[in-house]
Amino acid sequence: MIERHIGYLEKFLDILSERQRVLSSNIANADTPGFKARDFDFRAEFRKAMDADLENDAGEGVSTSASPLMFETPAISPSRDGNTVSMEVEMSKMSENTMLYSVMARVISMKLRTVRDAVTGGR
Amino acid sequence: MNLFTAIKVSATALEAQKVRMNVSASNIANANSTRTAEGSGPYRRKDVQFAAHLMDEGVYGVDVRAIVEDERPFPRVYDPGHPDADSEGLVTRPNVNVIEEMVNMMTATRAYEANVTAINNARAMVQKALELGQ
Repeated sequence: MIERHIGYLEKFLDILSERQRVLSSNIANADTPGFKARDFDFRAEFRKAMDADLENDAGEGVSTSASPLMFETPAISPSRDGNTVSMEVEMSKMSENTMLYSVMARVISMKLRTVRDAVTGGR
Repeated sequence: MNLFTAIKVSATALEAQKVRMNVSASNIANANSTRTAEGSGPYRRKDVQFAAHLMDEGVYGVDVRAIVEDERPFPRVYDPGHPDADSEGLVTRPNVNVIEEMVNMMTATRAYEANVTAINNARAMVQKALELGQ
């Protein structure tokens, strides 16, 4: 029963760290000619994880699904060598991602503490 | 673990930008070298070629594929008093533009800082994950 309410939150953390990797990859290649910046719709992935969790009523937890659908970030000021990475856009996305990760980790901790309080009777 | 890959990716970028910085420094240092140890004319400007390479889990790191020579022609300047002036008083100078190199170095520095921030962010996330349940 516990897995039902925490399983999808764990999946959220996985999704966010996947996004962190993609954003790091974009920033690392900010000067690589022809490199196209990538991203994916993490909110859609969240919804998918929640739906998968709801379907698993037996509490089996959420299985790792296929990798998320990536899209190419549209270039704000495309450069002549074909590189579409905008440092400002990537850095602010990365900030947002890190903060979301903190929030999700905190939510999981709070849920775990609720369970622990239930088990120990609040002592 | 996922986030360590993010750190590895950023580390490849730090290495690449460092190489770029070194090459730029070499160009600036030799902006006036009308002779080289090889003896065949003035110093020719060098540049780095970046290439993305696939790392594990489908993300791309960056590599310096090659250090190439800039093919732009050497400027010839009238300076008859120069020890390397030819019979017409012209000196063949290196094709290094110091302003261009300064801009290059600023870009490399900014990219280096951005990747350091990316590493710090990934590290903060790992920290948060370690604190789960406490």
